[in-house]
Amino acid sequence: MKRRSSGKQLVLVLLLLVVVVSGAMRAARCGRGLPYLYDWDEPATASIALQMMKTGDFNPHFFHYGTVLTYASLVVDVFHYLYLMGQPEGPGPYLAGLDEITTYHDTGWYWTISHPGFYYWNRLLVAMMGTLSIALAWLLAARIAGPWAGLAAAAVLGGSRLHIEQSALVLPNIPVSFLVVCAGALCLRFLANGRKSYFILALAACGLAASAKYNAAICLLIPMLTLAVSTYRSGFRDNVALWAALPAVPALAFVAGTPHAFLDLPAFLGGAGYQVRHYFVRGHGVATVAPGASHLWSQAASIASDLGVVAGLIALVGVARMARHAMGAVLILFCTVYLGFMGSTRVEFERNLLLVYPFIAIAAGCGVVELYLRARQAGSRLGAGGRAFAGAAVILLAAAAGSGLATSAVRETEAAGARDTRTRAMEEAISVAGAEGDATAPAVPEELRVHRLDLNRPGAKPDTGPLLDLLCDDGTPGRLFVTARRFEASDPANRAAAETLDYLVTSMLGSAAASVPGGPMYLDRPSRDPGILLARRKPAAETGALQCTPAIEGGNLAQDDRYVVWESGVVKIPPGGAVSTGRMLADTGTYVVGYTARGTRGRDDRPGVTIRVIGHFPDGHREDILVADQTASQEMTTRLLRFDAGGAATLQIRIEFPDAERYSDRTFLHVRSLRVALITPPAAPDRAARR
Amino acid sequence: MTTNGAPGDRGLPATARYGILILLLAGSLGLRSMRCHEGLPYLHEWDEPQSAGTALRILQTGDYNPHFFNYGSFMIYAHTAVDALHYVALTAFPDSFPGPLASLDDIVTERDTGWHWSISHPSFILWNRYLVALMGTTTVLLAFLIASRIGGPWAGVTAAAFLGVLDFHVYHSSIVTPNVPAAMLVTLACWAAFVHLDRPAAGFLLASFAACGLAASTKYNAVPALVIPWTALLLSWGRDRAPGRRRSLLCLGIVLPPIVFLLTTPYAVLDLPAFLRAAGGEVRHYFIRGQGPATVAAGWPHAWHQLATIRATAGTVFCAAAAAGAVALARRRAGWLLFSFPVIYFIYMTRSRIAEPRNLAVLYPFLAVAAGVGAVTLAGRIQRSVPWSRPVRRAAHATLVVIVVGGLSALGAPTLARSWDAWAVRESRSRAIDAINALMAGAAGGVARVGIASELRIHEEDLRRLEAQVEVAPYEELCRHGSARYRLVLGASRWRHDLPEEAEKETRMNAATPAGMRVSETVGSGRWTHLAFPSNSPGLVVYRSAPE
Repeated sequence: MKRRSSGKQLVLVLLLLVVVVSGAMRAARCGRGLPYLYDWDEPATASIALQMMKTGDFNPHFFHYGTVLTYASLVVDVFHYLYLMGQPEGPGPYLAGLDEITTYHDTGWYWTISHPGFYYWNRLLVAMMGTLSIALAWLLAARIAGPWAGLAAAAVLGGSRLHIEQSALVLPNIPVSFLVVCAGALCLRFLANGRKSYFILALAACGLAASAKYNAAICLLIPMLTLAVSTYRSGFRDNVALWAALPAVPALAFVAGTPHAFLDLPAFLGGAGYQVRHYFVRGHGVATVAPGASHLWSQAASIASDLGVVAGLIALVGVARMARHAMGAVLILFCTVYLGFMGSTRVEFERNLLLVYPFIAIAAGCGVVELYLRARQAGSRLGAGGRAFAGAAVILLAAAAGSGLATSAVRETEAAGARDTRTRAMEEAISVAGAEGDATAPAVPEELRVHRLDLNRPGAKPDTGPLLDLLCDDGTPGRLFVTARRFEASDPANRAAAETLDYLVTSMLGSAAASVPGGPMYLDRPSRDPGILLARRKPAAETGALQCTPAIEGGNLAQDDRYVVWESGVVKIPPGGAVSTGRMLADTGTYVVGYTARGTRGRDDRPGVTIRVIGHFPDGHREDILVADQTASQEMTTRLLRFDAGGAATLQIRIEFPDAERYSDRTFLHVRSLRVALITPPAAPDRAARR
Repeated sequence: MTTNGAPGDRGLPATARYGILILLLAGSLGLRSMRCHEGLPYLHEWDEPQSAGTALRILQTGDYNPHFFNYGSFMIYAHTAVDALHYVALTAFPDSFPGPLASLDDIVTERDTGWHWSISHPSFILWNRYLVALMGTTTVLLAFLIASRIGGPWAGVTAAAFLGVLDFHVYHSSIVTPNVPAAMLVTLACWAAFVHLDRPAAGFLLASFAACGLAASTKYNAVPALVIPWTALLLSWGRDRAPGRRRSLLCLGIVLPPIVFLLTTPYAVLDLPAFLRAAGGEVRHYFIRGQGPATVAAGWPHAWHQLATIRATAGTVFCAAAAAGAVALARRRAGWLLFSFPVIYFIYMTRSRIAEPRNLAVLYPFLAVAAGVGAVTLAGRIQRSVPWSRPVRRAAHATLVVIVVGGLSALGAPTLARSWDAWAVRESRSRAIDAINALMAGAAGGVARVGIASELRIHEEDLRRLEAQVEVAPYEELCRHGSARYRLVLGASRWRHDLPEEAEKETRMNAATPAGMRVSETVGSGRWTHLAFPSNSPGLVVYRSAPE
């Protein structure tokens, strides 16, 4: 008796350790990257919550997910806002007013976050749910197969790389997973003691899960099957009210979590329908797979690669153990249906499987106990030595299954405190400038999207602007440039700009200090740790001359006869739908054309605008050198074009508004700068002089 | 003996106890009600229109959004309800009140004039003040109940007496600001929490949670009051054997205060940006920006400043008794519950940069309870522990009673005098009108013209009483015309403009006197007449032309 009690205490101590380590890993990861975002989707929840806080409009106007997490983030944001308002002004984060918060609604760049603390707090909320999921997985596994199974389940889930990563992002995957495990735990309690309140709460959890991510609606299977078991056990009596509650409570919870599914039905149907078509018909770029067996196989491989093959195999053993328990069987059935459902789609995102991760971990926990019992049984036939061997083998297997926790702990500890390369580069730039007694402000191109918190570091007052402008306007010899080593674009339409930037960097700048290694800097998506170059201008003898036209302001742009549309840099849509200017390109060399413009805000200002750069060459032919389609609501940062020309060619830059009739006479585009630069090759060495 | 270890009802029969309590409550209400008349029809307190004016605007427009979120909305809606009743009374019994009201549009407030302290019908403010006075008196009752529960009836009587006559509390109970209502609700939460400790029913604990939600909805910084019901729940945790009930109480404790807050400040959600701007502005105001001369360094300097203010406000006897009570209660469960809030609140508020004494108004009921318990504890110690003969013990006992009664008298006498003045003596501007009427009555000739400086902002009620032809014009204009146009001119003895950019105007106005006139009458205390802010019984001068 005493031995059993001490064993239980040991399990509880170990469980506490697992939960604390898992929680710490998740919390420590929440600051990863900030003030820069690495994940595409985070603003879809976090920035919408911020926008709600700023406007008081609780309609998210975005229904690709449900809105439970958005509203939860909103509540957290309110507290963080009050916290920031109480912080003193300085280099650290603070707020002096609600309007200082900027998101993509203000800038057009989807990943804008003026105050990263909001994201950090939102991520902590998700991390808390992730950690609670581990505790609930323990609870379920312990009820099904005993406390050691619970401990193993908690260790497997706690060490899952995907679960840790997603627990530190403002995405609905972990909240959904948490709510579904909640529903499972509540159903288990209902089966155990028959209290109806547990069942109602489980139904509400299912509704909220669907309200966090629509595909979680399948989790309604858990209470439905549980109720079926309960009804069967009670001899088909007593549960009529609960059967009636089965559709009603989740529906109410869903509407409570996503009220605008009802209040703004067309938008909701638009968003939900888009997701259906996205998953079942269109697919998603490189994540597109053929539905069916191949998708299922791919899912299995993905799970095995994350949790480990050993844990996966033990989980398969554990399924047999789970199947002997009513609730275990319910959970197995749910997981099978969910995996089958997701396998019938054409999009394979690993994160969509997080919903079943806790249950796989529970199966792994049950598998460990099952293997131990089998081994003991087999060992008992072989004598003491056999028993010891069998026991040791199972312990080794269990350790292998739970090794993910240790591996993750080591990985996360190593990565703790890692900062984005841009943050490190700015610190490096300040120290380089300080060491060299350089009083000139470093130049930081806007294309690098260095955050305000990094730009405002003590000692750094950098000049920012498009790279082309910084190069053209740079009158200070030896100025330090902080730029990306390599620019990249996901959208083919932006590749020319990326290549041109690379050309400018390699042709005009030379390394000045140890650069910060990293990946490419994307122009049209968030970049994770881009490689940064600390550079200075190369001597003119190496680069050739850079001749720039003055920045052409909108107001002095030459016009076609028909269009009078420029008003101090702001373009109004002309009656004919186009505006253009021409430049003579008399000299031979490499021309770089750059413009910086920003579309006006507003949800309906979404017709495409086409920037067309046309070359008229001396031999009479005309060529579209660049045709770039933009969306007005997007930020239009520097667009760059490089081409070799010369000999009296004419360059025409033409901005066209295809849907001008609909939007005529409205301010549409703010052109900040437009310039043409010519880089002539370095002069060939004088052969006579060399002789 | 109660569960809190109080001596129970020993030493004071129920009839006497209730008799004394009724006397104390009547006295407290009387002091506060008399003080409510202070200044009217003029407003002296900067912040009164924030609640009272907003309530009147809601009454007039039917727009329940207060558009003002520097405080919560609970008291604004409570004042709206009082205003609605008063409006009915004004229309039903027009002769009973000065300034009859034909329709809601007759009410003039800041919205119509631009002057923040405009109030056409001051009886609305008076009724609003009565509501606050009632809440202040209720706080006295609650202090009695809590102190009785902890230290017996004499402790209750002493606590109620201290709080009842405390001038600081009387003053704040007679102005339309949220300080005393918030204090009442926090004290209510505390009393309900104490009852919960004694009774197994959960209703009082839930009432305590609800009162905390209401207190936060009255003034945001009352949020730390939540520590009271949570402490009570913690202290009664072991008593409840049913885990389901404990879980329910935990859930309700989390959910109930925000629900009550949002029910009484619904526009915190319905107009979220405006609410956040104002609430965030208050955070920044208190913790970063400070407020002119009330700004102090956060932390210890602020704490010392506030402690000194409390000592000056409450007096040495009160503070000494409260300190004795704190020592006596430090090891008792009742003490933990009683002081959980004041300690946390004091630390929280002294982390801010604004040392406004009114922000600590919420602590005075707790100090009064501690003082009551302290006084009774000292008396008990003398009776039990001092190894002297009976006459010496009695003498020591009597000395203590004399000290306490003396302390109460020292607190109460000036309070009574101020309340009497507020009720019996009219504001200097009203008295100036009386003086002008008297001067006009004695003057020969036909109807004379009286010039009144518009910067004095003489109320319409007073202007109507003038038995002369009145012209309200800027003071400098009156000075230009002088006796050529007016027989009497009413100006200020000292003008003061509080905005730095208007300093020149202040100098000019103070140097000016109406041409051709001589100073004849001086009315009022001689205080400044503020040009941009409300003036408190300003000193006034009636200029009179030389006799013909």
